[in-house]
Amino acid sequence: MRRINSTISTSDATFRANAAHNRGLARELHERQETARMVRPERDIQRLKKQGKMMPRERVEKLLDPGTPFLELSTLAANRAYGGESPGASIITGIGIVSGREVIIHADDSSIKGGAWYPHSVKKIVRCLEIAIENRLPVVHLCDSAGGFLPLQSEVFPDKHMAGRIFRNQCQLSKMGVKQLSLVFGQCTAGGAYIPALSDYNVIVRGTGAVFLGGPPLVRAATGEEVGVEELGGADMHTTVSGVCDYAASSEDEAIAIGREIVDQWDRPKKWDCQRDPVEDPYYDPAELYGILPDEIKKGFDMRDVIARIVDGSRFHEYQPSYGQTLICGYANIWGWKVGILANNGVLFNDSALKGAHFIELCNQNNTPLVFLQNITGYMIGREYEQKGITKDGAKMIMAQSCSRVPKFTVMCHGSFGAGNYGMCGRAFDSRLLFSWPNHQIGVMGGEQAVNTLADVKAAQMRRAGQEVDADVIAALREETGSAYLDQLSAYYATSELWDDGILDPVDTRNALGMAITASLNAPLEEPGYGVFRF
Amino acid sequence: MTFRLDLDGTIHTIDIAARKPEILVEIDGRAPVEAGCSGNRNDLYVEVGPEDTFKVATAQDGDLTWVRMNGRTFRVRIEDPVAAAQDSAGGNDDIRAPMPGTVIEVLKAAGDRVSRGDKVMTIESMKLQTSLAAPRDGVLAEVLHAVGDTFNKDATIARLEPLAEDD
Repeated sequence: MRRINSTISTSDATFRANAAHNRGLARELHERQETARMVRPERDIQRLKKQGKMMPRERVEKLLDPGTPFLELSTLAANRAYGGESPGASIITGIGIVSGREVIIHADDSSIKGGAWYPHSVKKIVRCLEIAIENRLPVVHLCDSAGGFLPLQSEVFPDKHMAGRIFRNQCQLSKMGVKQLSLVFGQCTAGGAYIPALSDYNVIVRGTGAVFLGGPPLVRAATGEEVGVEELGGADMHTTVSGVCDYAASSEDEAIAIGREIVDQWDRPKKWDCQRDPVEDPYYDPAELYGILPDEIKKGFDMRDVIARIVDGSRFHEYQPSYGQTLICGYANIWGWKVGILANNGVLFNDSALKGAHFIELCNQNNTPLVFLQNITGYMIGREYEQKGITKDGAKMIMAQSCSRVPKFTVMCHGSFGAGNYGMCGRAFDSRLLFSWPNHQIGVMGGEQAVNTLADVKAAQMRRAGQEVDADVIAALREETGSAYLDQLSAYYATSELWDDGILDPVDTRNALGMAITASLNAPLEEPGYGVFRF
Repeated sequence: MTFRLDLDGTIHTIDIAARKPEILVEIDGRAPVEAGCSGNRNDLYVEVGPEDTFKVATAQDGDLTWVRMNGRTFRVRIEDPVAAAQDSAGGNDDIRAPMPGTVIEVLKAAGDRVSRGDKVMTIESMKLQTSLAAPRDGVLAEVLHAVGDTFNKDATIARLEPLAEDD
């Protein structure tokens, strides 16, 4: 396959200005991630120590095979919620290797308010189990949660994708034959008790671990019965009397060791036979991505330069290079795996949408996973394009994309505005994993356009009410709505709300995609089939 | 299978006439010779004909391979047939608008010498700024739009001097 000829000049002033800007963004990302992972009030650290518990990240580290990569997901979930009181939404999730098997880990972060589940915590666990279902990834649950955060119970408990969905997804996994292991480090109360109960295997730590539908205070209030934790739901009771738990461990270390031994018994899922070639590092340095990405949302860049810094050997076979040029389509390899890439190089026209739909169908027939690199301001508008049927051509692309049977992956490389988000496999379209870069912005329209639209609407309201249009009022409105709107467009807001599976430093994209593709191949391909294309 | 090999700047045509039982190579139309390779990456031997065996060392540098053999170093590159065809195809004189829009910035003027990839103009369309770059090395013949001009999709924005026949 031919190498992309990337003509970027690294001594160019624009390149250097961009590099300084984007390195700054990457630095800020690492700082925020480090804080969300590690910084806890001394009081909480001491409390865990006194209970003889490890920090939750220490448990994850000890569980994983030493020296293997861990693809942590949604590290900055809930960074904009609850006044920052729930870093990472109080949950750690990620794909890693345990006893030589790929697994996905869900760990309650008991170093934050006893591991209580906030609404975003539930969303993150549900997403974790959805990833397990879609990719047939075994799950290891590290349970240590005080239960649902009561003041916000209406956002934790009742709806379809709230806490009940965790247990529903556990059942679905079991039905598919995807294994689950729970290590019970703390109290699993009420709903939380079903996590170990619905796992194929579980281990419980003596003294600190407990499983019950109602804890001692609730029992006393309900029936007047006086009963202690150990007797009600402790390790020895459950492993010798009730059969709720399988193994008792005398320490967290022992529980982790037993857990690793259990995973070691599991059969290894067979991956489907995705085409693979020898792995080759990119010819162009991925660190040059910092200088390629612009310093402003409305500035464009050539996605071929980005592709060249992600794929094996910077090699790319471009499909229809002279047609529909605002959408780059073509084949490449990532970690050796053959993929089909769709990348935006401008607004989507009729021809680019048709080319995209056609290429997606080719990849589906060729069993080639799809990678979408988004930088999209939308489909072209205006009389000429409407008359040419831009809407039905966009619909064809969405149909082909949505009904794809091959695994899909999305990287939000820059802007993601309007309907272009749909055609390019936005969050609603079941990407196996979706990552953002720190410079990413997402919204139904860009910040400038939204503020103008809001100002126009306000001015029209004033005129209808027979008032003079007050320039000061309009300016104040622009100022106020502008900054709020802009914040909601940011990658940090998006990741806070779990609209993605995490923000990546651009240089890590290749490895993140490599791990994601490898994990995705555990799920067999479904039968091909599309709905009706409007011609 | 035939391919073209660039050896220290000279192009040779290599035809692999047979692969089994021995590899037979025909170089520049001369009589085929047996060729083989043995050892591993760090201890590599090339056999040419029934008699000659050379110890070689190689290093990869992008598309280039440096080969050390018989006390000399050679620079070897296998020509990419598609790239070679595209390079010699000429054409590509026009720089066209990939989308309708407005000119934001003009960075080069008629008469300027440009290299492939040099930015000639910035345009804005649907709230997105795009740089239009020179498709090949050459001299700008004309720049057809000024800052503030609007244009349709596929409009010619600038034009390069056509390549002379002997270029």
